[in-house]
Amino acid sequence: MKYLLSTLILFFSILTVVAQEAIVTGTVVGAEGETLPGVNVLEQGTQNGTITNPDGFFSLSLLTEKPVLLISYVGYITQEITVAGRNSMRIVLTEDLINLEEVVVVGYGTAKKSDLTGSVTSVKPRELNVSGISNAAQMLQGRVTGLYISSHNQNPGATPEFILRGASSFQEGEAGQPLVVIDGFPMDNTSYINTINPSDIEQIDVLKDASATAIYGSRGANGVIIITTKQGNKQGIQVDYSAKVFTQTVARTIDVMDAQQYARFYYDLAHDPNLQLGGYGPSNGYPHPFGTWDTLHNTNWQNEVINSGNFSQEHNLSLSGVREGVKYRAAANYYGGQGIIGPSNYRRINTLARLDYDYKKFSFNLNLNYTNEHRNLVENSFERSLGFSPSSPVYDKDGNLSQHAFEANRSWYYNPLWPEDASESFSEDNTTRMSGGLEYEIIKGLRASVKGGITVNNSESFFQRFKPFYATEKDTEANISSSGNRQIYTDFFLQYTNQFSEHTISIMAGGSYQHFRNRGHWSSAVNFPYPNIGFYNINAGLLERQMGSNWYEKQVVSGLGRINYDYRGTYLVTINYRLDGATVFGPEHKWGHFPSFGLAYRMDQEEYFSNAVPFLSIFKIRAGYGLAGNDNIPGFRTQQLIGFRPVHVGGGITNAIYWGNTYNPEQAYIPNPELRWENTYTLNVGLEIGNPKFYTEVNYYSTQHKDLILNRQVPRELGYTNIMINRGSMINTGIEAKLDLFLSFFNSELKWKPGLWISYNKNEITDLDGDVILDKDVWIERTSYGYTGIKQKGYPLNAIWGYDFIGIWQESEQEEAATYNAKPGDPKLADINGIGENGEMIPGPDGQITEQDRIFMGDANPVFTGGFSSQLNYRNFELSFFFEGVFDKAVVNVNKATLTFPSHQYGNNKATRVLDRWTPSNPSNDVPSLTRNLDEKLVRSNWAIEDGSFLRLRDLTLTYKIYFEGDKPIKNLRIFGSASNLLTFTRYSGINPDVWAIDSDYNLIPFVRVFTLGVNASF
Amino acid sequence: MKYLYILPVTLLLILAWACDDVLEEKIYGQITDDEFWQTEQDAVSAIMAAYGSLGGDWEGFTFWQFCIEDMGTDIGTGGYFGTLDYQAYTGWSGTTPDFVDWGIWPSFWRTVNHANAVLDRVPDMDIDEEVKKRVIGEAYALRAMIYFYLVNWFGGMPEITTTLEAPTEIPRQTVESNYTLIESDLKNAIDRLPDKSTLISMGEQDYGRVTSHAARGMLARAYLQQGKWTECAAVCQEIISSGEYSLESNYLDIFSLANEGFNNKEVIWVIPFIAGTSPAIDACVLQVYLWRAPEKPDYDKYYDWSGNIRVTSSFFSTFENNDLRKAGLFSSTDATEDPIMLLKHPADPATEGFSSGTDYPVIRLADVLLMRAEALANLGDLESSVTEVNKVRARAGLPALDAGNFTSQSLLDHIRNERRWELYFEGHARRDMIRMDYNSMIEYIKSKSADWEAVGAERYLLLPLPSSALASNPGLIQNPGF
Repeated sequence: MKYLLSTLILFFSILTVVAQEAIVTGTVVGAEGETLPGVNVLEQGTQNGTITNPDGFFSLSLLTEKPVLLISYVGYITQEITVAGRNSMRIVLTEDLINLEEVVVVGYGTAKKSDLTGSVTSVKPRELNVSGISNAAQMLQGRVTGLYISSHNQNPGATPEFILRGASSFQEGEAGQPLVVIDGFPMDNTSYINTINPSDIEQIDVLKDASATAIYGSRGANGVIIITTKQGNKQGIQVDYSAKVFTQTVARTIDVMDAQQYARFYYDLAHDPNLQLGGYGPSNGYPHPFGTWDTLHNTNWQNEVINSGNFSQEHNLSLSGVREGVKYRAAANYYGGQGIIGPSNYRRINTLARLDYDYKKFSFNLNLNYTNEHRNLVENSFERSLGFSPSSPVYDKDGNLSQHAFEANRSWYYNPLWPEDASESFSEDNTTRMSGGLEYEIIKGLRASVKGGITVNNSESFFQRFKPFYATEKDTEANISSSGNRQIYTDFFLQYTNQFSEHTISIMAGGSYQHFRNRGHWSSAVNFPYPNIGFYNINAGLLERQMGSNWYEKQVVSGLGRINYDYRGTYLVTINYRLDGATVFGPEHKWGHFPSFGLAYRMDQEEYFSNAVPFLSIFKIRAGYGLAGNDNIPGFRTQQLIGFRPVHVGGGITNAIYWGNTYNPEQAYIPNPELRWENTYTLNVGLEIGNPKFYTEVNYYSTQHKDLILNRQVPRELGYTNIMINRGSMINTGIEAKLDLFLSFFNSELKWKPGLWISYNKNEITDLDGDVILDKDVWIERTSYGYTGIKQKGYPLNAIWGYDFIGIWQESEQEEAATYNAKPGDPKLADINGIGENGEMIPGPDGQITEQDRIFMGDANPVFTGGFSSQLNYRNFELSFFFEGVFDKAVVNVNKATLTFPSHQYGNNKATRVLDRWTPSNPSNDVPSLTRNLDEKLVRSNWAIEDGSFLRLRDLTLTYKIYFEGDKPIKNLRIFGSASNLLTFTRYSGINPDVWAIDSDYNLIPFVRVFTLGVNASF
Repeated sequence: MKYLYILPVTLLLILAWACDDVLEEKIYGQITDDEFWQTEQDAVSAIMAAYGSLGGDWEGFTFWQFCIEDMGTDIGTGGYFGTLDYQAYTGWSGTTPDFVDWGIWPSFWRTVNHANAVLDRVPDMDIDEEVKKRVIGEAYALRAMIYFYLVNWFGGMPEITTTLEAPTEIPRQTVESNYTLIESDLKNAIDRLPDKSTLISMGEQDYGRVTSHAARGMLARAYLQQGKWTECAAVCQEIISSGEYSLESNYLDIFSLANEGFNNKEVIWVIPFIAGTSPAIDACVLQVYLWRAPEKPDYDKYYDWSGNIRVTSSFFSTFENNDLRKAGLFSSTDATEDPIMLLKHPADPATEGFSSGTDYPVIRLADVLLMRAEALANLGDLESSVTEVNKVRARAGLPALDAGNFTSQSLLDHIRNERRWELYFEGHARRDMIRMDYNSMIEYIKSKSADWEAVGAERYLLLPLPSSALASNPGLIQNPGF
């Protein structure tokens, strides 16, 4: 009785409360019926809101007369629902698959993509099936219009190379790379992308044009890649665990001769009456006497070096949630990968913790991240495995690794398995990143924000060789080195946002400071008393004891400001201004100014438009123009500096000086106190059209890079090689287009999301100060065969030039061949031009093949890139794949020369193609006749310079998802299997067309397919 | 509202003005040019740079001598050098070998640059006059030496005598003009440099630094190449009569490891090497390439990069019987063809890899005697000429010659042979052959070059300029025919 009474009283009191205020409850679900926790439910016009609980349920007391609820959730389209007296509602949210409302991170803040005036592409890992990926850069491969990342080196832990909207710098390496920003912190080197685990990434935004990048001023010139890590966002605790295992297989091997064919080839070469062999007389001109060939061993060296049973795994565990307003996330990741060529491997441990907390007017966040990478750098030689004599067994009769069949080569050509047998080499990288930020709302609409952080990276490497390399070398050697980078970054700004009537204005102003330091030391010695003492105690090395150290610092100070204005959400204007000063420039030129502006017109917000074309949710035209800068040059270039090193001129030892920053005359430079910022002017015009079922975006851009820093050659006779000057300029123009569709069939049981994109980029040097730079020289066996690259005005930066190969001289052409000092069986090159008295070009054949007969072969950077992706969902299954296409890029296939040209080439094995060489009875038009020497002009002609275009099925993944209802500990489970690089369509004759510029034995890496199995679970 | 604009603007202004000092680049590990050039030690460090920038390429220097001057003539053969692959290394092809393009050429000109820096800056330094004079003298001598070799191998060279200008195009000058510069530099050097005994009494440790007689020896060489016989004979006489140098009684002692340093009586200008210094700085590679024969002690310590380099039997057969200088050659029983190998540059047991300590003589007394003999024979003074030749022959255990048996030309022919027997593989053979037996040189070129009929044998008397030089200096014109 007592209980019944109190219950009744309770009930009536509740009723009373309820009767005074309306309460609405509801459940929010997604399109598949799955409940959505953490959804924002806000009463429109008020601050009154709540979020759904883990079961998707909410309850809200309403304050207004005619309440309208705004239901919003990341990745879903916000809905406005009039309550209309209902007490309980079931709200179905549709996924914002075309991301009309997506929030992108732009410099110093976020914005909705629909409100942007600049060109930004966002990639969300949770939307892609990023199963096979272990490296954040791979996540971007083939998915961002205008961004090309080569997949030549698939080894995990390799530093990616980005080309965003074309080549943009005359300098090698980092200088042309986009800026990588991690959680608001600009990193000085793109390799830091390796320290982020893909499963910790919430989103990657790629900023492409000036109005997007100018706010980043320094290095914004090459584009910006912003990585944002995940925050805790669900009430309570969520635990996620994922694991995957994968293996690599070689997709394409080279068919080389077997022992019999090899022996015979060199026998034929030594006995060919037409060839002068000089020092290779009968006694050492061929390795195996006639008649012994059937008894030879036959070793397949490629199989010996390939790590066929390789196995890699990755595990991820994360804990995240929201508790009393504090969003937290902690994660740990382990990756252990074996390379395709033994015994190299890569191991990474990554841990992070992130806290976000809003308290009254304060907003606070803290990020901690630690990564440890260990790389075993010993790698058996794939390149040697192609050339080493197949008639040598792996081990000789004494149990040692066998030697080359050619006696004369023994001291230089080591057995492909020698590195593993004789050396040890590894490196370890530790990276720690700590950052924190504080925001404070001073008054309504005015926020102050300050952020600071430090990244410390230490890289140590160790090497020792404990067996002789050449037959003559007895000594053991070892070296160790350590290099430390430290970056400190801080920024602060004020932001004021206000909306009055139909105008919204936001003003931001602030500054930043960045300090970078690198210091390192190394030491080496040879002649250790026992093997395996080496780098553990380098002091035990008796001879050639050397050491060195270095220390370098750089600072950048900046001021920045931005104004965003929009009128009715229809007319949008952004103006950026940034002022940067960097220590690396000359005394009068430290500062650079980078203004930019962008305009956009949201036609879809106009009434007449939404009435006329209601099915389009977005129709936006935007244009932007601006200036961004690049300060990524090495330091110490603006003053004459003098260094010291010891020198012996007899019995004593004295200090000698050097200048130009190095005593190596090959690299010495003249200082230039006028060095200043590189400037990039970008014009971008874009059109976006979309609705929930489709989205298309087209951009046209024209990017002028000016005042580019060139290592301008100076006459070598001055004792220097070059001087750094700001005199280069080049231009990239291009078009990017993409189309995404979201289609559903059979009552949403079957959903298909195809996407297609293509981009075109034309790169051209517009000024090189009259200089012509030769590069991309072809090296074979320590000898240079000349240059294939020419940098000059009017051609792309990475232009490749070569002779025009038109066939093989046949017997019927003997007379004409003789006029070119050739005979039937020799390659025939087109005689296009002649040389005048002063070395100038005269059109018309002149009876000689000279440098003037070279023609432009193409750009080593691709002209067209594109991709096609498809994601198919049927109930709990998902099948996704994507194709990447890269077209119109020139590659110098040096390996074609070393492997299929029938010359002696120091006794190396060759591809079986040489068996098809020209003979009078086999008048080939592609492989020349037996010859003594590699023809250096043929190597630099389109016999070897090929088109490296390809279309590749990058990824194919099948996933099965299971959702668990109710109170089970496990909420959902995903199981997947995927394969990468399954199919490649290409005409390229080498191993992998996705190689940059020169495919030679120096960068020979087998082309691999990766097969992955994995599971993700959320608890 | 309007106050809000003041805030960011103020911030920006503060930033811009307060931060200029922050932006000054901090230098670690080096000093600025303004802080240098103060003490005697600074002046010495500066000239050491000129010696040292041939440093890692002293190896290139000796390697070049060996390839071009010796292997590129009829005294050397075999290995890769006999084949078309390596014609570039011996000068018989249209391309310059790699070691010129990225070794010798940049380091030679760097030495000139360092010498010029000394000549620009040291005279104004407030330091001890003796130190100043010597350093300046060394700068003149090193610059002249570099120009001598460049002129002989490539022809007329650009003349660069200061570091204070950096033109983008520098034209070539004539051979005559270059030699005028060489002569005046060497005379400036001779006036300023101490001689060997002065250095010994000073306690000098660095026996590789240039002395006054070394500069004289180079001047004699320059005169000889130009056919200035009287001047040559006179300068040679200054060296000979100074009493500073005498012939070693044993031919192999000239080069032996035990006899390195000021103790060596005969060597006038030597490039001193020290084993184990790295990376090949101060190290002699030369003998490493030549040493490999199973009969030689420790033969497997050395590389066989060269692929069986040999001395030609045709040269070996020209020696007179009992010539003691044949001790520098060695007939290997291991080889079936071309069995003669080189022995005179000894292997250094302390050799590590490419880094060996065998010193390399650039000028020695026997060379000076023969130069004087050649000059005198050209002037018609056969008696005095034969006297000098006989000094060299006496050390070689050979009978003296009688001037009455010779004409001017036949004596010159004999001196030509005497130089080959005395100075083989010391970097003289090609220069001597062109100067003293031009027709044989042309015939030799024809036997070696693949395309002499198309381009003319004469073009191979000079080497082609390296492509990197042509690319970086538009003022250079390639040698004719290349």
